[in-house]
Order: sequence, then structure tokens, then C-alpha cells
Amino acid sequence: MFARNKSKTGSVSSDMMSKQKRYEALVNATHADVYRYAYWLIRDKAITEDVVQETYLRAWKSLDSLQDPKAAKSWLITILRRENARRFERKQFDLVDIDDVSVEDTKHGNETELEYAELRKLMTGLSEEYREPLMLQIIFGFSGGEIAKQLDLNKNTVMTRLFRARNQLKEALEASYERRQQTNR
Amino acid sequence: MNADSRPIDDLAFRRALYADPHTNDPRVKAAARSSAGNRAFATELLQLDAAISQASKVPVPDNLASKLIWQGSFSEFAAHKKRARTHIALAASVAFMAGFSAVVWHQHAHTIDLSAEALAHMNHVEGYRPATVSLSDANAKLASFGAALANEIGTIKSANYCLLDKVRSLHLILETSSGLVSVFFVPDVDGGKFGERFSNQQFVGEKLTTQKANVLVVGEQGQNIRALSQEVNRNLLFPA
Repeated sequence: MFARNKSKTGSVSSDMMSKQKRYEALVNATHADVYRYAYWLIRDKAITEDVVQETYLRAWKSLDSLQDPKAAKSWLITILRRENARRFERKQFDLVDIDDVSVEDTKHGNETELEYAELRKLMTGLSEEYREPLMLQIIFGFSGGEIAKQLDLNKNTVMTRLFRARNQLKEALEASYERRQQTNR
Repeated sequence: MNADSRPIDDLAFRRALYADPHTNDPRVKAAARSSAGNRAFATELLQLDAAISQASKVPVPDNLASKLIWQGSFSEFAAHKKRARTHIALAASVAFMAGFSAVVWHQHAHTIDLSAEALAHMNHVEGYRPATVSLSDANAKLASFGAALANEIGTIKSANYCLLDKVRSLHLILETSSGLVSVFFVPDVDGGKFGERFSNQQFVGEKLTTQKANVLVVGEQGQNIRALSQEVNRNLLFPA
């Protein structure tokens, strides 16, 4: 009985080792993209980090249900979106007021950096229904069909939202460029 | 299929590129080659996409990966203890039970001794090298316990959620004028109990007597835990 117990414990800890290794590989391969996607969903650094931590804690617990490593990103995104939705169920968390969000300001004053800072501000201001599919496409390189599946929308809706998202960004950039030209004149 | 080979109109061309500047749709690609204006538009959208992609790369916190990995192994530690508990229930032999450590022994009871869990957690997090956390970040997390820290608390080395048994708690590590101290905020749970004072070979802790939250202050053996918990108590606010 003891012998059997012992060998069982042995295999449990070697399972644990390989689970730990799989988890570490998953974290290393995905955490930057997942954090950035979460940031663009939430737009607050402290809350983003919390939600990402919750996401990976859930991921660890159900790591065995992830069979196909290629599906890891969409699996994590599904967990993250659920964790983010739960945040709104807990009344203690204040909603992020967009006026209070400090968008990372640039320390280098060059034109390109200024443009990125401007663009980040505009991206922050996009409504969520446009921002989310755009970020899935930009950060994870998802196709229209993949985004539709992830967000449970039909593909035409997704393509329309992507079109509007870029269209709004482009027009706003052009408007701000013109404003700058006028003040420089 | 027939429709697919027909050239697309200008509006459809623009919409398709706005939706995906990297599209592989042969009709869109053909349209992009068909005129100088279209080619310029396609290039312009590719440039816009490169800029969006660059702008989306907000800095990722330096220690995020190690934090996530550490958090995973900690929850493994908790799960491992749970398995150990079933073993205890099954084992008839006293000799078998003697092999388990005092920490696991605490698990035998039906109540959750959250003070002992906090001590066990301390033993487990020792290897973790914390960074500095801003007061506002810490207070954002503390808000869910209706609490806040005053400015004078000292340096906050870490503010992370952790699981004490299965209870989601907030673990702060503070560098106060009386030394390094861990503060746990634990929600009320069924079967949860706390010692007023508790200790193991390495750590010693006290429960603060506040009305609003269960607050455990834990320091190392040899530290003046009374002074530490008074200092924490002085700087702990319940604004709600």
C-alpha cells in the first residue's frame, strides 16, 4: 500500500513538473500580447494587471483543458474577457472614467513619437465595439472569421466594425494634423 | 463564384482595405494594382496599420511574467496541500500522519485557520523579489476591502492577490519605519477563523481589531510585532 502510494505521488509530482513547464512556456509566449490586449480593453494599468493575473490564475487551474497549443491565445482571450466582465459584476470596482486615464505621454519630442502618442489617444477614445475587434486583428493577427468566432458576432458585422474603426482613426488623425499645420502657420 | 471574379467597385475596394489592409482577397489586390490612386490608397492604409500596431505596443510591466509564473506555482502549492488532506482522511495509521508537517496538520480541521494559512503563505513567498508599488495602485486594490493606506505608511514593496486556502486575499508587503511587514486583507468566509496572535518558527502575526475587514499583520520572529501592527493600524483608513 505504501509502495503504491509512493509511486503514485511520484507520478503526480512529475505531472506537476510538466504542468509547471507548460504553464511557464504559455506565460512566456503569451503574456505581452495578452497584457496589451487587456490594456486596450480596460485602459487602466492597475486594473489591467489585476485582470491579467486573474486570467492566468484561471488558466493555470484549467491548463489540462487546453489540448491544442495553437488555440492557446484564443483560449486565454476567452478567459480574459470573462474575467473582465466579472469586474463589472463586483460593484466595488469603479468604472474607468476615460477623462481620468492618463495615456502614456511621450518623453521624446520627435514627430513620429508625437504621432504615436496622438494615435494612442485616439485609439483609447474609440468605442469598445470598434476597439476590441481592431485590437484582436492588430495584436494577435486574427482574421475576420477568427474575430467573429472569438466575439460571437457574424463576420460581416466584424468587417464593418473594423472598417469603421480604421476610418475613424484615419479621419481623426488627418483632422489633428491639419490643426497642427494651422497652429504652426 | 462568378461574382468573385468580377472587379469590385471603388467603395467596396476602400471598405475592404479599411477592414483589413493586409487582405489576400485577389479582387482587392487586383483593384489596388489597377490605378495609381488605388495603389497610393493601399499604401496609405498599410502605413496607418503599421502606426496603429506600433502605437498599440504599450510597455508591459517588467516583472509581469515572473509574477504570473510565481502565482501559478503558489496555487499549485495550495492544490498540493488539498491532496495531502485527502490522504490524511484515508490514512488509518498514526505513524503515517506523523510524517506530515504542522502546517498540513492544521488542514485537518473543518474550519479554515486563516492565520495559519497566512503563515504558510509567508514561508512560500520568501523567494519572491518584490518591486515597488505606488500608493494609488495599492489603494485601487484595497478599495475592494473598503480600505486605504495613508501616505505615511512607507514604501509598498508588493500588493498582490493570493489564495489563503481557497480564500482570495490581498497580500501587501510594506517597508515601514519599524521594518518589513506583511499585511493580509482577508474577506469573511464560512468556517474562516483567525488567531489573535499566531506564530511559527519563522514568523509571528497579529490580527488587527478593525470592524470593517480582517487584517492580519505578519512579521519575522524577533521583530516587534506590536509596534508593527500599531504602525499599520495608524495608517489604515476606512473611508467608506
